[in-house]
Amino acid sequence: MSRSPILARLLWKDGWVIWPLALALCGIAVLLYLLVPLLPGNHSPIYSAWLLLFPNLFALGAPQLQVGQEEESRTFYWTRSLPIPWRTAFASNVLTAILGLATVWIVCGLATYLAYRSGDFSTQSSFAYQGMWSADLYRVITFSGLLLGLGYLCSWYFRSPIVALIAVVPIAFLSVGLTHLVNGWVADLLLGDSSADELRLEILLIGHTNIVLTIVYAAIAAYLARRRWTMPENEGGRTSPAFAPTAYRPAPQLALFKPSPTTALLWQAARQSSLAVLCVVGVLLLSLVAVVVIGHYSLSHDFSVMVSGVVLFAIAVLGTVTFGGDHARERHRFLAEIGLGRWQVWWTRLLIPLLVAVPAIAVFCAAVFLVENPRESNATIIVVMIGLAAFGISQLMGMWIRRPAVAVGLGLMLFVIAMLLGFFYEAYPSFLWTGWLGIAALFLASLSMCRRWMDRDRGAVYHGGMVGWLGTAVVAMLLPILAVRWWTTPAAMPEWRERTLAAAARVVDAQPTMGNVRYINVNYRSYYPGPTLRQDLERLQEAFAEAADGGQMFPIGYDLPQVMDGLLEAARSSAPRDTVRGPVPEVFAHMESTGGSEKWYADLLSFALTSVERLPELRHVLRDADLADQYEQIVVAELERPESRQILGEDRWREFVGRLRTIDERREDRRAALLASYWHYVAEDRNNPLQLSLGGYSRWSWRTQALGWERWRVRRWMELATRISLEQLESGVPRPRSPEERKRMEAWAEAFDDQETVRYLQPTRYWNTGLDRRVEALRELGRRAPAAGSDRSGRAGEPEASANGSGG
Amino acid sequence: MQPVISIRDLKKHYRDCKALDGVSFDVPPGVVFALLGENGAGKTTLIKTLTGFVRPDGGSATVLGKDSSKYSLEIRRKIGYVSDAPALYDWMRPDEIGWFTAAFYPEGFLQRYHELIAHFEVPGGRKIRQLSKGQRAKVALALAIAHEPELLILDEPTSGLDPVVRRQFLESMVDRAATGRTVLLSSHQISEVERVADWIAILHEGKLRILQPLSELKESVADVTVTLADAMVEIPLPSGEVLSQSRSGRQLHMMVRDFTDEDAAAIRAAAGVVSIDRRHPSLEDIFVACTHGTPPAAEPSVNHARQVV
Repeated sequence: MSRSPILARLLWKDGWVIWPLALALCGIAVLLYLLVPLLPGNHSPIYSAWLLLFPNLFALGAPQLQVGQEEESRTFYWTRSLPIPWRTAFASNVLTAILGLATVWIVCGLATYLAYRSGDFSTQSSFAYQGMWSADLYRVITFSGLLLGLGYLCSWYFRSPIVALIAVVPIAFLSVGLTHLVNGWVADLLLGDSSADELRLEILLIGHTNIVLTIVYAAIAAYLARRRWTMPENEGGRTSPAFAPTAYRPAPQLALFKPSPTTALLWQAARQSSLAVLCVVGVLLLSLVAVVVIGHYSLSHDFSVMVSGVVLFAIAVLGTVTFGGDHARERHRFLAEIGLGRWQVWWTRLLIPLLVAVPAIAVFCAAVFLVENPRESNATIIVVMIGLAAFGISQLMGMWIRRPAVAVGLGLMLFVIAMLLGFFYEAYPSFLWTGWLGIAALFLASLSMCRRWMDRDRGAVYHGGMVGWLGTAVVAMLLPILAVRWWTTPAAMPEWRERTLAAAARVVDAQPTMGNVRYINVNYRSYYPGPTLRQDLERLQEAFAEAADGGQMFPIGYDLPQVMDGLLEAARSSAPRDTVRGPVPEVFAHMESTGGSEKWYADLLSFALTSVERLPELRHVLRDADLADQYEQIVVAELERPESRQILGEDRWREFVGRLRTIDERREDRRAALLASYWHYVAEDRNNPLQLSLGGYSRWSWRTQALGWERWRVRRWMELATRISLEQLESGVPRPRSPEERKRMEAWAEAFDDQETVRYLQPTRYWNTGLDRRVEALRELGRRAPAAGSDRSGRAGEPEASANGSGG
Repeated sequence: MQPVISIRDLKKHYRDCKALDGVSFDVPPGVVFALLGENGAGKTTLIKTLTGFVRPDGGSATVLGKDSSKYSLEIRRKIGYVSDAPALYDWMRPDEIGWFTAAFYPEGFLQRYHELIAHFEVPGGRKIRQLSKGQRAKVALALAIAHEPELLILDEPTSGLDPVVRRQFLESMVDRAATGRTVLLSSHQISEVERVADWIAILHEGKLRILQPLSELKESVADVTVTLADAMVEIPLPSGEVLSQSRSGRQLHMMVRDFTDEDAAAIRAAAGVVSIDRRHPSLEDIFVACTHGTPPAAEPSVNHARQVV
């Protein structure tokens, strides 16, 4: 029989094994790409992460499914008994995996491209190597190939899916680390310090190295596959078959004491999961060493992300093993058949992995806080929640999904989706407690489904229950936020409605005042400071000077709030340069050389406050009102710090507190912004198929907000308010879309005839009463006697000095 | 005496398949009760219903006086159950799994378990995954009976075992029944079951075809062969239940329940009958007749079981 039919059959068989994984990854990727635009904020990092995550998840999972799972289900022994050449079998595995990987890459790439075309994705912000997008894509695609080759190597060597998955991670980690180190050195050697070219060469070299490593790993995997395929059952030197009858010997007896049920179950759970737990502990120790030793010298965001990812993966595997260990050969039926209760079985499975997860989460925190600031409000709590959520989701997947590779992969994907929900906490930090509800729901789910799991009840009720519990976790996390948001949406407040109607009557006859604005782009990213950092900071100082001048020209820093935390951290740092954590050292160095970090600190806050004061008078649109709120939140968070008073001095601190808006002023600004934004919306041609939403984005790109329903409610009230104000115009009531209305709208449209402005109209994200309370608390604090202790130094600078705008 | 197991009109269906279709019977205490049926007859579904792993769609089942749906955990703790594919922790050794399981049963389990393992001659130094199929089955049986349950339920326990091991298994069942305990044994190894069973129940396509003590069943069923002068000769049907009938040339072959001497005389006297021969069939013959036999076309197929208590 020729090889072609054999290969075709094998391709068909292997395709059936891995197509569910590819389909699930592609499906979830597409779903997420549809959901992401609904969320506030810059989405480019999310797209970048997924473009890397989904193909690599496939690369990790495919070898385990094809090799490890076949070993566990014993189908390998049957396949091996057929007249199939080992090369053909190996080639079939690899070809189907490459095809599947290519499919996932194409789907994710296509979705990212569509996001790029819709404007929701910026290539410049996606990869830190600006202008090297194609080179970086080459690097990451070859990395997927490396993972695939390594996956086959570990699968054929370990033959257990869980152990192979765990082994892949540290080896991949080492490969990547060494690759980066070596190629960075080589590129530096060849080109010297000519930044952009050196970076490009380094990326290309990394890609080439990935290809070489892929070939090496694949060759080793082929050798192992050949050995496994061709050697008889008694490989390893045994000459007798495994089940040869031996002379009877009395069984050695354990002590004839009876253990307690708890002891017995804990002993069994510990013995069963010992190998996986030890492997995870090994990964954790390696990660800890990496954090302590390497992280101390290399404060790179990429390094932190890599180590954090490895630890999270280990936590996910730990969670999967909790119940997944009893899945093999349906061992859980043994516990069901002797009539054990679900509570007893549940907590004895969970205890040991959970105990190991605690230090794992600590290592995860250490990796994250290499570059992030643990003193940020709620930062530690959020990171711990992330670790627990990863464990919680994985332990549920380990119970639900029989195949460990699929369980780990699905757990990680669901975890990524859960992280999306976490973006809500960025906007609503006071609702962090709902995250605990969601995590608790995950553990309650496994307890609830434990009985059915033990009894091997895999019917519709079982699967429906799992889905229902996952939904419960999501609802628990989101419902309180949505409920409070619904309640506090301006359109829900009767008092706001009355004032809006009254304001509508006033505003409609007045054109919005427009100042000249200049857009300043502070292109500072915490990942790679890059060659433009110095120029960006110099532009920022110019902006300080212009803002302090109070002239008609006012610079708006749309991206600045995203980097303010890093800038303020650098400015308030009093530690020596070498010990400052994160990407801040270069910024700190520049600040010190241009007037001092404390002057920078005061200037940053002053600029933020001036932005809060000037933005509403300049534009009256939602995006800018929201930007003002964002600046104000940053200033408030900063002024709440005890060291802020020391750095600024008591008088300056009180001055800044005094400049914060009152509750009424804040609400007035927001109302005016809503109304003005609505007029801009009305000014567009509603019959235009590219009709803009209130936020200013084309509906074709589905750029509505995650809380679009609340914007819809606001818009309805806006329409009502506008209609009433139209009715108050002189000589009759203009009909909607009448010539009279069109004339009035044209007048408004002229004021907004700025396509740049249209693009940047965004609806509100920071509209909540929490800011009101915090400002009032600060004012109250300011009214009390100053805290003991002098100013930190005399270099905070007088207000006049900041008006010069010079740093030194 | 109260039955150990009582089933009334039990129904269970899976999609378009009726696994159990109105099955009713009682299992008296202190017997070896054999549940026979071909593959897919509903034996495992019935047993899973008794142990609470499957909820019936209709009817009721009580085990040791408790409803199997509501008190499944209690029932499982009290009985000994060996499924058709025992799920053992194969990374444990036999002594380890005995020690582990002893935690959940009263005192004395471990001692009895070790006695059984020694009696079955299971090697102790190997992990369970390194044992042969028969040895694993012995471990599963030892775990099931070491706590001396009143009721032992075995779902095709001898499947795949060699004849020697099968005999050992089944003989131990007889020993257990002799001590007053009840054994419910499902199997399609008819010839082996015939050696040990006290009661026979035959399931076919979800329905109970036969329920009778084995001795009475074998006595009451006759394997009748009628030699005819001509292949087209018709003879009167006997008064008893004809389980199956087939013609082969001039011979008419019938499996008849409650075949009387009067029936034999009537057939002998019929025109065209050359000779009539009857013998006692084996249980296997009866089983085949019940499950694959073709009843006479003139009469409606008898599809009920006469329960003899």
